[in-house]
Amino acid sequence: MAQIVIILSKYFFIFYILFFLWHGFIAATNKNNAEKSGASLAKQRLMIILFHINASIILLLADPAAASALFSRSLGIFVFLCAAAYITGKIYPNSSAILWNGVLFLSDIGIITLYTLNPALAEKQLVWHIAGMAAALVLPFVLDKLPRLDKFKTFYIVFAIILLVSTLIFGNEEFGSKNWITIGALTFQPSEVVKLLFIAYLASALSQNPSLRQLTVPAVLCMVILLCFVAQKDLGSALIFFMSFMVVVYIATSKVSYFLAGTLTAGAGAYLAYLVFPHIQVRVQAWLDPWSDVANKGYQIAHSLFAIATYGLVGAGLTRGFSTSIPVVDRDFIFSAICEEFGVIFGIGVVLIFLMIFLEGAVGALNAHNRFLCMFCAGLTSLLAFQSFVILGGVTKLIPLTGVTLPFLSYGGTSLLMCYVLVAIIQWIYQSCVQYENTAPPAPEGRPKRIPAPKRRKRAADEDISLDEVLQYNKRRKDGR
Amino acid sequence: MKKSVKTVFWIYALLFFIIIANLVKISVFDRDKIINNPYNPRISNTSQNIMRGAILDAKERPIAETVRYDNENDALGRGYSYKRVYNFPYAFAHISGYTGSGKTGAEKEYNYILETVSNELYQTLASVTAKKDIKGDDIVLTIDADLQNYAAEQLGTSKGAVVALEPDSGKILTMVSYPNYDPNTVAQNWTALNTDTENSPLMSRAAQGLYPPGSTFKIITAAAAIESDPDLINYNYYCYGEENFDGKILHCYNSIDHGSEDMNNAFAQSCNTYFAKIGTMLGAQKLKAEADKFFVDPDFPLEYSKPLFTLDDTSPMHELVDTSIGQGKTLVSPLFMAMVTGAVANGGTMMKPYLLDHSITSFGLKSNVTIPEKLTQVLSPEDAGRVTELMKQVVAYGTAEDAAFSIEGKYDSVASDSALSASSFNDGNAFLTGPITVAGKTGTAENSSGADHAWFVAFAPAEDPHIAVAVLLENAGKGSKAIPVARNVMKYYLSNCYTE
Repeated sequence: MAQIVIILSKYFFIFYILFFLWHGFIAATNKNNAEKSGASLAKQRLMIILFHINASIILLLADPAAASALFSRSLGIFVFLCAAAYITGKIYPNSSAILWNGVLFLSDIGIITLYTLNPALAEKQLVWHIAGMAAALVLPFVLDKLPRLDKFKTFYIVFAIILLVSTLIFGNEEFGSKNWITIGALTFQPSEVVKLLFIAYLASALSQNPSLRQLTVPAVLCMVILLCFVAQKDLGSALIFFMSFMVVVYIATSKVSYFLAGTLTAGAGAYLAYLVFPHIQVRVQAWLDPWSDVANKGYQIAHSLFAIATYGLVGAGLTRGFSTSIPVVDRDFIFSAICEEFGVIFGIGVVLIFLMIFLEGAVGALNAHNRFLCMFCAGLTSLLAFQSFVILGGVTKLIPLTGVTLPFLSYGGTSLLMCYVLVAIIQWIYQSCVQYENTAPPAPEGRPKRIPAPKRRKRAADEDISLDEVLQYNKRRKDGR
Repeated sequence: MKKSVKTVFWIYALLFFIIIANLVKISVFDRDKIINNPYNPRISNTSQNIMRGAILDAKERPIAETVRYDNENDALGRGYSYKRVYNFPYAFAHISGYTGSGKTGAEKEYNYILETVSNELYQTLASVTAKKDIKGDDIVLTIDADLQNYAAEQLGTSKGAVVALEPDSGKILTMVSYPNYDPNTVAQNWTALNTDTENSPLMSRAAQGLYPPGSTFKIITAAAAIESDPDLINYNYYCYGEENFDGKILHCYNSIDHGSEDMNNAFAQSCNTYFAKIGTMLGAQKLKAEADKFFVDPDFPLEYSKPLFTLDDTSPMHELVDTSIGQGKTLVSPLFMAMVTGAVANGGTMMKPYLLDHSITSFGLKSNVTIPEKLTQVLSPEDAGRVTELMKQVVAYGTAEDAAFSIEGKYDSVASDSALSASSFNDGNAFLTGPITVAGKTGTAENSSGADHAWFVAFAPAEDPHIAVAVLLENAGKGSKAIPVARNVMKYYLSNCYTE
């Protein structure tokens, strides 16, 4: 009986994710039609709920001994999902609901997969999700109180460098990288925060259309931080950091030549690093040919490919994978486990949910009326996008493997927390832009304090409105109500 | 600025679509290669809940099948039990292998297919509603059980092996080894089978046994000579029955004095001094270059030993002399010699030997169909033709006159007459009839374990070969002992099994 449910569910899961994506597409292309997009968003949430119930039934059937414990956990996740969907709608009324839906679906897929791998970790992960969501719900209040985010560039960069230096001094080594700091029971990677701070610095430093000379300082700082990452053997962070840097510089200058020059320099630097560091050579060799040394160098990548390929497009069925054979399966290689149990079609669906999230982030940047917000939003989205790309590409042998977590899916406390913070800031920017865009309809007659909206005129593409202007407008609107 | 944000938007889309394209590549196009990697733990998994697929012969008769016993309760307490049954226990022992606490042979290599439940949903529903078995896919081998049983019978109780393959595809037609064992009782007899080092019945001599090739190696020496200069076929030499090569005194078999001879006579009579002379004329480098073309890894699906060839520029003269006539340090398996013979028969193209023809899903559809694959080009078609001419003369007037045969009709019973006398052919419907030209080469391999090993490799018909065969009889003495076995196997195949 359980077998029939598992086999049938393989197809149900594919349906849920495809239906979810389809309605994400409808909602994204009908943003002006509130009714239509609202209906699609509701269907997306229904899919998340169906997925959760269906997966929970399988987990219960597969392990009847732990049924009562599982049932209460499953209910807990269910409550979390519903509450998160509801409260984000309240606190971020004008944020991208598509983005929230994507995050929630990924979170549920992550927790369910962790349940099949290691129930204890899944329970911890749920706590981190709640913590992350709580942080995301508090952040907008804090950010609203800090009206001049673009004026703290010195603070950002100094704080970032302090963090980096302290990692170099106090850091301990885990998973082959010396980039972890332990405070009490908490272990975290400062590099996650450094990346965020540097993007904030970069966006404020470049908020005036920069000349080549003005680019020098950020570029040099970028190099310094990059070298620190390489010294800590944190190649994944280095890659993510550099690509996000290039994206922000490209958006600030619109110059492809800078982009190409930067890429060439980085390519030369990477080659140099390859020649100098043996651990990079090992990774590149394992990437080029994992098959000649499956027992040692190629072990991780080969076992990841075994997991993805063996059960093909529809997968082995939830709980029927060989997760124990996949290395670091709860962190770096969770995507391989998802492909194995849910199938590659579902895996492609997961990749598309990521893409959907990042495209919404790009829409946030596109709508920003302020250079700082635009670059900040694009930079943060790039951090998440390249982090996902680096690990998805790594476990599928598209690029050399560097160990980073997959946002919202991998187990990992602080990295998950940081993902929520990044999403919260992206959503906050998204919503301040939408609020600005939706010029207030004329208030009912007789209302004493009517706030005139800033005159809407056709703006040149690169013309700015200061962040102050936007925020003050929003504030006045709120007060006026 | 907005434009660059849009560009970034497209960069994200591009990057993630590359990930998706790569996922499709892995899971659709590279899938077979990835799955079958021996390090993949999923392929050796066996499930108690399903009825393992059957191993079938080329005519889809079960060699190994799982049988359900309804009245025996197994460990799972289901009221029935599954048992693996091997229908041709000895002849197919090294092909099917066994499954149990460990696995060998086809049971090991094709485990993943045998355990693959196709149309899983349908089968699972049927098992719940109609109490049907959930069955793994069946595999169909290239071997015809009739030929395999016949070859096993021909080999009898001589230690050794018979390997036959189809030259133009690499399809294994038969592969038997003796001593063998019964896979049905391997668990009960485990200790005895494992400790019998003298007979090592668990080892497939055909694929895993390594022997000096003896004079069959002269095929490669002759090929090296012909490739360096076709006129060497006419090279004349006077054999006194022995010759001194820088202090290494080499004898012909029984020190027979072959007199004045060219390559045709020398090959037909298997003259050692002639080919040692040719070897020294070519030099170690050329001989090694030629051997390297033949000594490729067969990449055979079952357990096999790679052939060894160690001669190089630094080897001393006596090693060059010994290697030229198939002694020295060279070691080959009967499977490898069948491949060498098949390559000559197939115009110089060595095909990759294969055992799995296809698999059959639960709905009766073909899957995993093997497409013949070229392994390497060892000779040009012209040079392969020249070597074939040499091999034809071995049977025409040389050391293997006994290998010639003609086909009168179909042979009607495997058990009745193992000598294939004319009277046992009562059916005129054989595909080929009349005298068949055979090309072959005998070998008598000196070795440290006792009497010489007898080799015979051959293919037929020489003009349009359908079968290449290698026979090895351990410590049987003269190579001619192996000739009747090879001849009968070829005759049986061409009269009974071959159909276009």
